[in-house]
Amino acid sequence: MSTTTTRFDPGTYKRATVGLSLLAAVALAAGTVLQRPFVGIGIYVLALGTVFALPAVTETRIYDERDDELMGRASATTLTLFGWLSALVYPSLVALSATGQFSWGPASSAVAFATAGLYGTLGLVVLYYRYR
Amino acid sequence: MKNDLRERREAAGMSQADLAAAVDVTRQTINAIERERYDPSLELAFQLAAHFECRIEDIFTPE
Repeated sequence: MSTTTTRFDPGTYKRATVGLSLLAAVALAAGTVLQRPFVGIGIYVLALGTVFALPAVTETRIYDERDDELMGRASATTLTLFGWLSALVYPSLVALSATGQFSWGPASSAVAFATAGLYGTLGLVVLYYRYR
Repeated sequence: MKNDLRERREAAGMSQADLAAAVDVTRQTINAIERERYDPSLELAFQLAAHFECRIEDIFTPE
């Protein structure tokens, strides 16, 4: 049995990936704001499902080691940026909280815990790759 | 890293797309290596050397 595959231009595929990913994010946000959560989730699932399905139906090499390296560098830069910002912002907020000029609300607490969780996860992943 | 990949590819009468297909990467990666904007992984360097039947250091020269 033979399977039919399509040849996509990699540039077209990458543009479609970015567009569909943005559509998914906007649909989820709009669904929440407009109180149509399941419509938003439906569009989100369809858009991201298409993104993940496209490489499987094309013969064209779309991503390779260069994309992996680019993503690695971008991820490292993002984590470093957020790390330095966190190192400056959170001690400042703790100090402001201690002097009564800032109070931790649900949103700021959630962001603080999410940040701690992110870097905790990063540490665990680093340990995994170091000692596996 | 300096390299003579473009000269070798053209001498072999291949397009960037042909070479990319031969070593299973994208054309953009071959283009980036030729323009010395990207250094290939060791694995890809070996594949390129094998394709042109030479040593890695024949293609790539550390600056």
